[in-house]
Amino acid sequence: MVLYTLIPMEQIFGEEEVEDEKKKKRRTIDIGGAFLEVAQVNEEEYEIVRLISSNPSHFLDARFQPGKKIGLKPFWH
Amino acid sequence: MSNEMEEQQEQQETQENQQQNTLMEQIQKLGQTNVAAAESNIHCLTIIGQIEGHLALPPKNKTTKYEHLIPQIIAIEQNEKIEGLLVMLNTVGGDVEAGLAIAEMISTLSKPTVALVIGGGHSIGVPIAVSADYSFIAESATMLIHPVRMSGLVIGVPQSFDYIEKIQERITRFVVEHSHISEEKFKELMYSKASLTTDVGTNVVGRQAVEYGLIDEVGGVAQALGKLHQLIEERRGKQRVNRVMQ
Repeated sequence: MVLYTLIPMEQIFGEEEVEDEKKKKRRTIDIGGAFLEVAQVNEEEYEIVRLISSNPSHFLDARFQPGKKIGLKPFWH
Repeated sequence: MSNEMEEQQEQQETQENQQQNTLMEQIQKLGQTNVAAAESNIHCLTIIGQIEGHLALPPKNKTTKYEHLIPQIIAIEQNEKIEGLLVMLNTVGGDVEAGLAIAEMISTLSKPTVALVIGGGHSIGVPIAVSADYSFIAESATMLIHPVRMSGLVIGVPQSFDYIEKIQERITRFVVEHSHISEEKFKELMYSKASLTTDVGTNVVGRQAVEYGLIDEVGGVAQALGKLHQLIEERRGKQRVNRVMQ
């Protein structure tokens, strides 16, 4: 793999900050036509971190707004 | 008999996969994306941060992943209701193979495409910006053109230098073929020592990118969408003519 970027390699692959406990529990779910990146907040709930979609109207949809909590039982438990 | 079997099977499934079922229900509940969303005939690809390819970057990097983009581009090509694609770029570059793959896919899309560089479209962002049918750059946006390097690794054998040369060549060829910049000019910008204080390359700002022929026009959201609508109209016209001829 070759990276062609202006960001120095040390910055890309350097030490992670500690707050990443939260980031570890992130999952990307396919909701049919779009992806949601969600972060676990507790046993039952996930918070939407990012919506990945090419459909601009998805971003106006109240259900997909970042920060919104969704109930989602993790299937890996 | 078959009913009984079905019932049994159903019971088993509920017991075994209760958790999974709740998940599926919840995802399905959430996944009815077409209920409220107005259908848009223009779709938008947002390419931000690092372009992530074969290697997952540490989570602190903000990335655009090719496994998300590639199916979206295919869906855009296949969905008849989608008539045009707007590519928004604000990227610092990233994986060469992933970047070139995305650029190739955008350039071979049969539907009209317009790219708009806002903020920055650096390194491997350059071929993506020129891959669209028509490209815009915001007045304040910049594009950094610099050579590919293998940072952190010592180039020990001539072959590895050769390998980098070939990668460089692929990028240059793509950019030259899909924009109005000449190969000489692009290479001149790439190897310029006068522009950047600590590095080889050139930082091209807004209007300059247009002057060099790299980007078609300076503009913003309204201009980009206006151009896309115009290209869509032209395509509709051609399709009508084709139908009449047949």
